[in-house]
Amino acid sequence: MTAERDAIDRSRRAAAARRERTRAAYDARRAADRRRHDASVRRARLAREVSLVDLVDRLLDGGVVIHGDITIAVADVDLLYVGLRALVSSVENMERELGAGLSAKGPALAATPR
Amino acid sequence: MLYVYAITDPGASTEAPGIGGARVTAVREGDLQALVSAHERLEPATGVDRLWEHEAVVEGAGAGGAGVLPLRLDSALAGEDEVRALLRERADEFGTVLRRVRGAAELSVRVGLAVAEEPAPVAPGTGGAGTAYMLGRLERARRAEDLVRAVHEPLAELAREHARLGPTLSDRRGQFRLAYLVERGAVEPFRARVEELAESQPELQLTCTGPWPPYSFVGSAA
Repeated sequence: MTAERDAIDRSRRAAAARRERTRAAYDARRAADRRRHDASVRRARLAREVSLVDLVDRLLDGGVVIHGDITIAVADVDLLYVGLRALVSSVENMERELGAGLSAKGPALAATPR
Repeated sequence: MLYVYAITDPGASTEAPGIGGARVTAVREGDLQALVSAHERLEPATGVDRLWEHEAVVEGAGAGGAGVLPLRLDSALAGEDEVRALLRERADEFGTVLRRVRGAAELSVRVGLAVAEEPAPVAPGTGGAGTAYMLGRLERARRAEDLVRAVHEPLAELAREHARLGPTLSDRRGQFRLAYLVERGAVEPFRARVEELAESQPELQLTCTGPWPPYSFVGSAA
């Protein structure tokens, strides 16, 4: 009689433990899905911001230059760069968060100007 | 005052409004035209809107396959006569560059090097701490060059021209900026190769953006 009750108790406990494990696995999966989703949202934002940095570099450093002409308030390009620097540092932070190694510290590797 | 967006093949046009919503028109001279918008006075650019407005006009002009030379941001001339004079005086240069870039787009590749973080191996007994430091720097620089070359060479095969861009204010240390002039039809294969390289070289952080108008291939130094 006692052995029978013990057996029933054991099987109930085992069932409860199984339910607990199933729920834990489900929660872990949900959390992982959420993390993946968050990371992909951040990556998309990073891609957009990197595009903006590339655009700024091209528009201020590339393109045909028409010499000796009226260029509008070149000094104000500085203002543009104040905003740009804030953007670049936010991109850097995001890369660190995403585990990307973009902002490697190292020797100032002189890129060869064209 | 005329804000000038781009110099193009004749007939190229764009649906995109210009800066501040202005109408974009063409000024033709010989085999060239300039896309411009007229403004009583031009406020200095202080935000990023101006950048995207400029970019939208340039991209629109090239969408139909016409050759387009994008101008640097905030290029303006007093009036149509000055624009025609510019097109006349630099007709040879603009014609030559148009031939080089027609039918191609620019792709940007940034290469970030995680390797620069690692302490470099230094042979023991080669000198003091200063020597070891300098040797370490040299070794890292050499390895960085090797890694960049390993990315650059397979990409250059798919490009008409390429350029290693100099530092800009947005630059970060340990990062290289490369630009490729790629046939429009080769843009997707190029992107696919960047993906392959990113997978096979996990120590590198590769960021590819574009297609852009050929900003890095139209300067007189290009």
